[in-house]
Amino acid sequence: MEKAPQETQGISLYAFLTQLKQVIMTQPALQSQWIVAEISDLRISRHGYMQLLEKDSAGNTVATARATIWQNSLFHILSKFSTTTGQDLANGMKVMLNASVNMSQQYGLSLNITDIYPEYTLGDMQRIRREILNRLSREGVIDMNKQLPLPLTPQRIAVISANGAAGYGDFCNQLHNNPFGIKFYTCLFAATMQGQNTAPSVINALERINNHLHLFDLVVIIRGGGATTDLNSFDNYDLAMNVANCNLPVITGIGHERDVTVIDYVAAVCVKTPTAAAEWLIDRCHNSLLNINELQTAIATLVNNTLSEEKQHLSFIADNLPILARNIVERSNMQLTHFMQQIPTIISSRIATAHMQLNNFARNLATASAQCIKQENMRLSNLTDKVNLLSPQNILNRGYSITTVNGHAVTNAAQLQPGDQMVTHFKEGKVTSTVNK
Amino acid sequence: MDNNITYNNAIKELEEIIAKMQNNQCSIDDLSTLTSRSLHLLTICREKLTKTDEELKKILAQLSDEE
Repeated sequence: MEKAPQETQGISLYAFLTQLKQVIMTQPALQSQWIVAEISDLRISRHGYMQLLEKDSAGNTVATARATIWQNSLFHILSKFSTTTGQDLANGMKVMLNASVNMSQQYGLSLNITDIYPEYTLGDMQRIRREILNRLSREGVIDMNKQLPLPLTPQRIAVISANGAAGYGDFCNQLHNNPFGIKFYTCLFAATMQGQNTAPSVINALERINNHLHLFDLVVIIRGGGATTDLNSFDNYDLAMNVANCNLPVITGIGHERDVTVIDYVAAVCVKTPTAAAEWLIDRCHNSLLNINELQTAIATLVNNTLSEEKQHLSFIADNLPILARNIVERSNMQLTHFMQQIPTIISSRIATAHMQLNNFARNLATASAQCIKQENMRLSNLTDKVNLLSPQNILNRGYSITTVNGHAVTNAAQLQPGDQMVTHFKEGKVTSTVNK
Repeated sequence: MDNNITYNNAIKELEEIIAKMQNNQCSIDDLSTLTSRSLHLLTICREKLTKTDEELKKILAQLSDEE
């Protein structure tokens, strides 16, 4: 340490800081410079107060400074920022600010912010979002929730929203008062929907829903109503992973018109607002109702067509039946006439044939009879001849004689007894003799 | 009949009935059965959309209270 010279009294801190202030304030490089920093401890009242930080790649703070946006610039800066980025200035955001060094002897060094370049923040947010999306793509989860089949009648809705939020109220009102009389069943799984607790809180709600999957058709994550607030919380890898892995299709309606967050990318369906989410659900169910009506009309038409075709068929049959019957009768008549005409011819022919057969029989009979008579005549003649040859008269004629005793022919001499009267017959006449011995 | 049929299955069956009718696979004898079946399915589908399921409502109210 340098020793203070004895002849000097030293200068006051105020005077010293005044000199410092003069040096600082006259340096053009320290005035109206665009600087890049991260916002923390942001507090907005009449003026805007914050701490500006710079961190190294390990996350250690390597620079810090107090900064103020005075009332005259505050509205301009805030509205310029929210118009471009679609969200409010918030802690944790990386911003590019136009800053000038201010030195107060009483309060020390601080920066006065006079302008902001919102495109820088937008770019930074997009970079972060892109990095998360790339990672989700690499890990193959980015389309997982989109691949779940969307129910045709999404009526049982698990809602993740802040309890009492205007967006939730709008959502429920719209659903339950839909003009088509479609019934919806909503169950709120309350979560913090802004600030640093958003991601863990929504993840927790998803886990609670996971315990009751069978009760729901899908999950709706909504946030909305009131002023646009920070959406960075939804550009969160862990939250996106949980949404992607949810076993029910997720619809997001987190009230952001300008841009989409990471969970909008991974959700099965992404709409702008809670009201739009309700409209989506109503539309889908209404389409199902219309589909039912169309099916009913189609069935009614088909039934009517089938019935009228059958009626036509019947009436065709009814119209044609008499004609057909007449045709059949006429055809039968013709056949009968034809048969009747053929009958005399057939009968004559049959009679003629029978006549021929009879004649043949008669002829054959006569021939056969004559033949038979002839044969019998011949046989008789033969027999007659034989009889004639064998007749006693014929034998007598041939010189033979017949001897009888008591009317019986004598064929053996031993039959005769002496004294028997024998009669001997000749061709002509007979003699009687007595046996002597 | 089966009131527990899911909406998707009911719609599928209705479409099958229509296809059958369109392809002339439906005889006049089957027409009445198919028509009354389809009316039944249409009623189930419509009721699933428009009739309050009190039991589910109760369960979800309970769940909301627990939450």
